[in-house]
Amino acid sequence: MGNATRLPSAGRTTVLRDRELDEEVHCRVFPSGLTAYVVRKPEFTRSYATIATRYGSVDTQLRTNGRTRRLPDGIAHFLEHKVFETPEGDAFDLFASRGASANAFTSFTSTRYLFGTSENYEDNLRTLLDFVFDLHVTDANVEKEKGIIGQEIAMYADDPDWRIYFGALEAMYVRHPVRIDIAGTKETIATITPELLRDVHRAYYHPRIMALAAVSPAPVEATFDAVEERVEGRAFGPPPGPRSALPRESRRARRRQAEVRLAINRPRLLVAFKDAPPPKDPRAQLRLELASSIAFDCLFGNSGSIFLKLYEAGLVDDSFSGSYTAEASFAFAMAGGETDDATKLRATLERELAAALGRGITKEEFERTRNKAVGGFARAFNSPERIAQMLASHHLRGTTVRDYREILFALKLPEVNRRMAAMLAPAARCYSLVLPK
Amino acid sequence: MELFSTRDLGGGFRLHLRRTRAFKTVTARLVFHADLDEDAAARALVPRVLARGTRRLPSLRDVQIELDRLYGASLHGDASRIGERQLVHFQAEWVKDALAKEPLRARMGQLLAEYLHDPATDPKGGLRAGVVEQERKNQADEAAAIFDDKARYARHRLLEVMCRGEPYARPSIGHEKEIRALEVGDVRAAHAALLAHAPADLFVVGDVTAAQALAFAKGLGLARRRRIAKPRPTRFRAAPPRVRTVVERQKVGQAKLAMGFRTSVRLGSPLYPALVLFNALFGGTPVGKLFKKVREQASLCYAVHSVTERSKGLVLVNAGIDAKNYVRARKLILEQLDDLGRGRITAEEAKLASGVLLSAVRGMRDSPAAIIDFGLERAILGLPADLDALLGELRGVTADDVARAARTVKLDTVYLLRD
Repeated sequence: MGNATRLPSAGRTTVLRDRELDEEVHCRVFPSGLTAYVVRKPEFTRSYATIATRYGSVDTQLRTNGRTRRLPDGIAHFLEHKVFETPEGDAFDLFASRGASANAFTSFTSTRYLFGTSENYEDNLRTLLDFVFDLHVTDANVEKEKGIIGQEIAMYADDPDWRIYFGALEAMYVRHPVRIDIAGTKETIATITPELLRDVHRAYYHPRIMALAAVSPAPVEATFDAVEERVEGRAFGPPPGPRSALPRESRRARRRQAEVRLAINRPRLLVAFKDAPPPKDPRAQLRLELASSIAFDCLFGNSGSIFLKLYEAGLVDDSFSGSYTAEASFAFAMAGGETDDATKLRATLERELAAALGRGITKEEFERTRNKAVGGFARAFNSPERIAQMLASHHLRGTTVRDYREILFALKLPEVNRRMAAMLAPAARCYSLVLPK
Repeated sequence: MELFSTRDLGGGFRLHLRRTRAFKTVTARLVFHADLDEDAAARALVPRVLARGTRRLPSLRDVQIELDRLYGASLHGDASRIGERQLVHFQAEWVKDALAKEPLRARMGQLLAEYLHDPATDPKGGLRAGVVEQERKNQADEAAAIFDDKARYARHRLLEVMCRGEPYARPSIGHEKEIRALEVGDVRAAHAALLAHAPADLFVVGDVTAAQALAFAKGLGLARRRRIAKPRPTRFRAAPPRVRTVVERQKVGQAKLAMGFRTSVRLGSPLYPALVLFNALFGGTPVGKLFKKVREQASLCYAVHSVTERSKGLVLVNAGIDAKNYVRARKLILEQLDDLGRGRITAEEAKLASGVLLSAVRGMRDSPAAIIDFGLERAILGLPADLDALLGELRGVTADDVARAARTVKLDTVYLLRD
């Protein structure tokens, strides 16, 4: 759980106001432990809500009754598929019957369920709050899912962008489960049973580690009332205890380079930077994340010094992109794209990274890159989806959108430069390639 | 009610404004219209080259720095197609005045006008040859990279085979070969022709008054043009008497099945709303028959869906399958179409599909991009961009109409990519 002292006490609602953006975030923590965030958008037609649990693919252990079990790879994602089964049929259909489109996704550290609708918001919200807490698995529906997910895994195996991403993670990490594909493999999911799914669901779908984020034209109370009605009456087991610590790895990349060959035309190269896990304090973590993202954007963004050099030299094209990722137990950055000549690109990158380290980021680069981030933050409020996912992500980290704005304005150039110097350390660097067969 | 208030500014140039306070940003999309013909590759290259710099901001770096300073405003160029019409887009987006410390509209208007009329040139005044050559390569590489995304490649090959001899066989950026063969002069000529003769629409969505939008539009210098081209309407074909099947082999793990159907129903036809609902019931939504029967019941795939190319009268199905299940999957997909044609639609299925569809259509209002796409598609056919009217029509569709629409959908070509 994040920094609990910053959240309101149970039952009370706090409001975060952003006068410039003209937005308000209402937040309430319920006695069950569920935290709910609501942004009212009367000028919008659609409503969007997401419920997230702090359980993802890196949570490979399950502790029950003092016993710790190693879970099969891919089980968080498998469970995400199965949560949609209800005794009355598919939850997709329940949503659809009220005009909503539902979906879900599993990341390294969270599983999120969501729906968007232009009608019957409150009924759809009740469906969302019901189905995630009720698991209906049978031998037959678990077996059937193995075929479907098997094809999902096969699809990603042919996808060069997915392969290069996991190639980089495998090259960076030795033991940390972030190196394992979120969907697992055909072999690992073959061992999944209804019992195991029930155990995992009981442990990791607990309101204390979950958050709801909703954006709707409906009054704020409508969302809180639905939580009160559907979640607060339920019996939950004891809140999940502390999890086994994930392996702490050195900054050194496991391998210098990973390479895979696929039936493609265009070679691809990714440079990856293994970073130290962020500090425990949520605000400190966010600050580090923002400083690192800005440093990375100064090098690899649309106006980034390295990106522009590579682009103008014809070594990369507009398929090039990069980003910084930080979660509680790991952090890394990656940048890359299609290229004619992966060897030459790699050599040029090495040279440019050394030059960037020597040069540092200038005050001017820093200021305009931050300006861009300010605009990006405002732009995110265009979309109910983005707002809700942003609120959920902040909650999982233990911060708020207000922290984001405050820290963004408080950042100083020297810390951005320190982040750049730390990230670009040569031992922490590795490459992932996907080449034509 | 129409989404946009539209004003003809003369010279083949129209302004469509949707004033709304719902968004934190203003979106302005300028669209030039042309035929999807052998000059498509050159036209698509124009926005790429123009993005590389203006006389005032001669390098990509200068342009990007200016955009960063304007609170991360964006200015993107692109080419797409609707039916057999090629569209060359320039889209600007910026944070609305209340949020930036300086008004950005005038500066973005100036930048867009500079993009169009005052690009960086070589000493003789032409678009820079080196930049044209580099962007030509990038665009050709982009065409080559379609091969790398197997689902996209399967659809691309399906359309090449199915629409051979029709303009629709050409991608919106042209064929890779055509792009590589372009000469600097071709791109200069395409740039001049777009500005001088191509009909254009400007869509503006955001907190902008009519007077402000008009000033923005006039600043683009497109209103006083003469000899405006008239793009041809899209032509349609019926499915051949015998279905074509093409199997191609590559070293892939998963096979991709792409099926192309033709229909006489398209945007503007009386049965069009029924076709939209048909597609929702077929494979356009997760409550449709393809998802339910082929994925959930038969466990044959993860990805399976259908889309309508509504301005060309096509329905396309894509699925990722194990190659050994090809015959079964193909048969099962065709059975779903057949069932729809026979009116085998339960009340429950109809309710679910129309629920999802109506809700999605209503929600389009919340996305500037969705609003503009809708307006553009309608503007091409001279139809009003009226979401409420579409909703009313969709509500009026009966199961019988859906079955009638389904019966117009005839299989033309099957394409399978496998190892």
